[in-house]
Amino acid sequence: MTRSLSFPVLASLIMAAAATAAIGQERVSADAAQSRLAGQLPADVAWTSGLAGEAIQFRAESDSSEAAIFIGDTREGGWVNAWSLRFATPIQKGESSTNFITESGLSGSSSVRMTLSHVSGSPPFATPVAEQLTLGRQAIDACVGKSVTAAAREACSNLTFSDLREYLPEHLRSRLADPNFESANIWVWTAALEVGHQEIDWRDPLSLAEQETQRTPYALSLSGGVSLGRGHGEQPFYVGGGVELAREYPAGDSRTLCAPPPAVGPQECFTGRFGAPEARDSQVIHLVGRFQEVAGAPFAVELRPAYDLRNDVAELAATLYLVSGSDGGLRGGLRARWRTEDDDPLTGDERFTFGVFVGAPFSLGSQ
Amino acid sequence: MNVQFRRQRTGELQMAAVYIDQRLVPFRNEVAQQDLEPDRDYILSWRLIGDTGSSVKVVMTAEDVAQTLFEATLKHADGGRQANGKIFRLKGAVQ
Repeated sequence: MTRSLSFPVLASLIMAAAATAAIGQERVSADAAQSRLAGQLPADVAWTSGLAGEAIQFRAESDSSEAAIFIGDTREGGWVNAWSLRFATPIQKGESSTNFITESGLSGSSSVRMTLSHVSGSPPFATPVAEQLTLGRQAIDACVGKSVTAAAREACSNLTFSDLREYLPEHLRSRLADPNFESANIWVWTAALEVGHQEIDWRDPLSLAEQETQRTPYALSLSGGVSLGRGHGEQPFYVGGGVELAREYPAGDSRTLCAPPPAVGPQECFTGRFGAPEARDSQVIHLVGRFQEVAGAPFAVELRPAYDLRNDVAELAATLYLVSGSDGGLRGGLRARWRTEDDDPLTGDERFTFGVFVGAPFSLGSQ
Repeated sequence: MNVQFRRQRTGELQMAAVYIDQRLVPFRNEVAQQDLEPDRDYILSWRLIGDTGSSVKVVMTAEDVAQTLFEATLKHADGGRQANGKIFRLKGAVQ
């Protein structure tokens, strides 16, 4: 069932967009950054690993909305190690959890997520330094020898390896620098632990007395994938998968129950959740495939099928990432999800939902 | 000779690793310091991952003399990745 976004959610999104537009934009945004990295790095990494820097993000779907702040940093060594913290909370208290199984984390509760990532691939410069110096000088000499003017000869000393390669014999060119970096596969591994906090209001189904219970949902996920290197004319493509174990406390459906009619006065009726919150465990496996620059257009398309082994529920999420210019700014996208029904009476069986998200970067550093 | 490196990044650049003689230049808040000899050549190399249009520029300052080591922009043909390098020597030492 598809429902339109509520006014408070839309208002929040508009206000958030206005607020975040005023923040300095030096690095990449969160969810939106996925679009920029699509085909380069997996979506999860861009906004949860720290590779995306700091960002603020708002998301709204049919029955839920969320605000999230990401902070993170990278350590560039042989490749990249990164960490990030994500603080998220529902925009409207008491919203039911949508429990999308492809969401990689908790929904419907305030939470903090710690993510560690490692990005690796084949080294671009395997040639020893001494050999690079020798080949570089040889190429510069060849460049100088072919240059007619003094200015051209001077420019030879400032050429990069990609240009100097042309002055070397063909069998030596790949020794100066790896010409295949563009077509190299980049592997990404991510581990995340998320812990949430939920204050759940509910009523005793017999006494109808209102009660509040606090719960601590959590999720642990491991994922990996590879950004397939491309040759000229091919589209960047990322393929990956992962597993997640989670314990959540779904809000459940709202009902109306009435107390027995009193001898005098009006009968009291209450609408809300009846019964104490029950834990819902899930064991989800998912796959992800993403194309960037589809037909040369500035957007990316992602398909993410998932299956919850514990609850026998399948879901397919399709996301269209809208890409703006290279000067940063608000980024967003559209997401549609479809899932099979589950047998849990506490969760709403919303089989088809539609959502939007928007994010903007900001900087905590002094860049 | 103590040399300061300053890195400037624009656009959607997720990774801009800079190496001197294959050793990573450890930027913190986009600034790094290293000891280099003025009378020898070094191999400067870099590896960039990001979006088309993203750019990085590294400026080296030694004894108040600033020198742009390299300036690179990711082009569409790069596919969002670029690895490159060059030979450099401290300015002043070669003049």
